[in-house]
Amino acid sequence: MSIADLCERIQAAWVSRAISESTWGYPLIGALHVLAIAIFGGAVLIPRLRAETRWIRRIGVALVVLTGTLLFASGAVRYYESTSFRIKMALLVLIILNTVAASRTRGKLRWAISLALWAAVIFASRGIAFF
Amino acid sequence: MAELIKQSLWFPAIQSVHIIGLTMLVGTICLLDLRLLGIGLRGRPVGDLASALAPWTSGGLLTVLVTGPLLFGSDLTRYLSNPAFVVKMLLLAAALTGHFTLHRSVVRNDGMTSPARRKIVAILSLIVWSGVVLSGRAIADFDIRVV
Repeated sequence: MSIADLCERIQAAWVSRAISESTWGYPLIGALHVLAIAIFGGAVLIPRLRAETRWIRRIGVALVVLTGTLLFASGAVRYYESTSFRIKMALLVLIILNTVAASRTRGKLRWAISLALWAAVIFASRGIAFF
Repeated sequence: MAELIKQSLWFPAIQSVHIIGLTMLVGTICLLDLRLLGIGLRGRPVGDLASALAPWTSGGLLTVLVTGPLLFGSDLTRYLSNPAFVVKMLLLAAALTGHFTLHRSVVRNDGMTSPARRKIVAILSLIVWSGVVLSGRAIADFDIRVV
């Protein structure tokens, strides 16, 4: 089964259809996605608050991933075909790699890389509507 | 310039900067509110946390106040006829007014503010700022398309 077929099946699942066929599903989850990004983003900005904001970041990430997955599922084929979405996913992989590396050495450079990658993710996300 | 922004990739680019700005602005305010509620960052005095966050909050505010009007100016008709936009502007007015009055006085006079007052202010702040973000995102879903 190809990835495109898998996306078809994801999109046809009941959760996905419940979102795409309802009036409020997509707007509500989309809005929560952005709100979760804001909460998470605020907590990653300042490196010296890192230890104290751990749980806030964890909740933020969990919410972003959950809402993001639901949004993806509601239109999996369209997202899969979007170049911008693919770039976004690649950037997220880089962020994960950077985070794994950063947990060993907490350099300022890695923090700067992380912020730059997050900014790029936001650009790529907005781009989904266009290409 | 309005046409250029509206009909090119400048629009999503400016939107992206707007979202980065809102993350800085609302994210840092939320952190401070959670601290005021005693939910997180309890080891750090309110004043100390506020001064650590302040440059990011101001930077975020400046960013959204520059990019927002650019987006708005690119298509006045679209925004003015969009109910989510109108709701957002009302919430934004409330959020900004509260931020520079009630919120600021609670943060600055932390030792002298009653716990009930600071909790109410923090909850109100979380509600209105979340409302600004939620209604802002909803602008995309409430376009009245002229066919």
